Order: sequence, then C-alpha cells, then structure tokens
Amino acid sequence: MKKRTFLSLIAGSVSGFILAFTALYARDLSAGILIEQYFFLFPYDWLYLLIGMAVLIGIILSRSFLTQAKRDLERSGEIPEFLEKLTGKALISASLSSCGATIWLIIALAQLFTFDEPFFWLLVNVTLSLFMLLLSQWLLRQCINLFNLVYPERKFQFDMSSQEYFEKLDEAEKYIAYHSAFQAFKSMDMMLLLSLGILVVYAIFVQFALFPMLLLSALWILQKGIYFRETMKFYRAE
Amino acid sequence: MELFNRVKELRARYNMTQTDLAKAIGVSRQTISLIERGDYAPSVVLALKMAEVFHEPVEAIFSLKKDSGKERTT
Repeated sequence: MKKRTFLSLIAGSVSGFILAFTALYARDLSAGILIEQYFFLFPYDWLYLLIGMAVLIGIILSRSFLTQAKRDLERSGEIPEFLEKLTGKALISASLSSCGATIWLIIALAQLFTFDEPFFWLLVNVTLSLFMLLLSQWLLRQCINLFNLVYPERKFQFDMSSQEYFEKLDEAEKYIAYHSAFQAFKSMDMMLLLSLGILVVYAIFVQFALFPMLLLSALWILQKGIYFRETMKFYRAE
Repeated sequence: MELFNRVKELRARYNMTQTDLAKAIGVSRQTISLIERGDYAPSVVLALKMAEVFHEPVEAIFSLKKDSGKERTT
C-alpha cells in the first residue's frame, strides 16, 4: 500500500472517529467538561494552563537559542551558517510565544469582563498573561538586536515600517517573502473554509454560532478582496 | 527548461566563500545559497554582476537545459 493512501486512510479514520464522538457526546462535553465539572480554580483554567505551557516552552526555547547564538557570536567573531539558523529559531520561538501570550491576554480579559466569580483568580490570570506578554516582547527585542548583529546590512529598527524594511531586502529575499506570503494566503484560504465547515458541524451537534461564522466569512472575503486588489494593480493596461 | 548554474564551481575556483561572493555583488549570503541550489533564478543585473566577479560571460555561468519531464518555472 502506498504511503499516501495509508495516510489518507488514517486521516479518514481519525476524522470519522472525531465526528462520531462529537455526535454522541458533544452536548454533554461542551456543557460539562468545559464549564461545570472539570476545573481547578476557575472556569477554563485548564485551557489557560495549556496556553501558558506553550508560551513558556516558546520563551525557554527562544532564550536558549539566543544565549547559544550570542556565545557563538562572541567566540567565532564571524557569521557562520549555523548562527543564522540559531537566530532564525530564536526569532520564531519568541514571535510564536508573543502571539500565544497575546491570545492568552485577550481571552483572559474577555473572561474577566464576562464572569463575576472568582474575581481574584481571573485577575491573577490576566496579570500572569500580561507578565508573559511583556516577557516575550522583551525576548523578541533581544532577538531583533541579535538579528541586527548577524545581518548588519539590513538592520531592523523598531520605528521602521514593514514596507521600509521590505525595501532593504535584496531580490532573492523579496522572492522568499512573496513566496511565503502566497503560501500563507493559500493555507489561510483553506483554513478559513475548513473553520466554517467545523462551525457547521458544531452548529449541528452543539449550538448554532452565528457571530463566529459571520466573522470568519468576513475575514475570508476580506482576505480574497485584498489579494484581488493587489493583483489588479499589476494587471492594469496602462 | 531548467536553469543550471556553475556558481558553486566558480566560487571554489576563486576560493571564495558564499559570504565573500555575497559582499562582492551586494546581496545576502542566503541569496547566493538559493541561486547555487537552483531555488532562485537571479535577475539579469545580478547575473551580470556575477559575470564581472568571475570574469566569465553570463552564459558561461548560467545555461538553460532541456528538461525531459516537467517544466521548471524558476
């Protein structure tokens, strides 16, 4: 059996199991596990624990890559290829942990404004997420300082717009940026449609959620609209 | 048609690192790496700059080879 066929079979089985499991237990689980039964200090605390762990792992990884890269830079005095890779890894980890911490803060704030009890723990949650966000931002800044040491010819300045930075890149780097952006566009196009599909399944088995569906639809149309507007600029006759 | 290049070979002949060549033509080391791997086809300007560094005509560095199978776009 071909590897691709085998993987498709596995993916189909897993999807079928998830769908059947959701169909059977979704209503009980959504009301039970998430809110009423299984939490330690306040509703959804397990979710914050997962996000917090992911952010913490990102911060630890980024810090370790950063320390290693700085040590190697001091030792070798030049920029070997592995140092570029370490800088990239440190930047990626710091950016992802910063994203995670931002998501954590936003959800925690929304919950603080929605739930009355237990106020103390909800406030602790918001404070913790804010602290992690500041920590990841500080780390991101450190990574950018290292990036500027590794790539002095295209220094990133904090007051610089992304367009100004883009102009500093050479032709192959611009090509990489275009290619990556197009891949991100294609993936997001698929992901948004898939998310709408998941919301339909959610509506069938759990609860009809109009606002998330409208929001995702608006984002989908907006993304396509921006893409078409940008491509049309290059297809004008004159 | 596939684009082949002799950048790596010529760089070795001139005993240059990717960083040296990158500095000589004013691009990043990654750009040289991408060109050598055939993942990026350089612009005419960049190809001419390379030709100047290696004292070779552009067509001696870059050439198109007929691909028997699928066509490559870069």
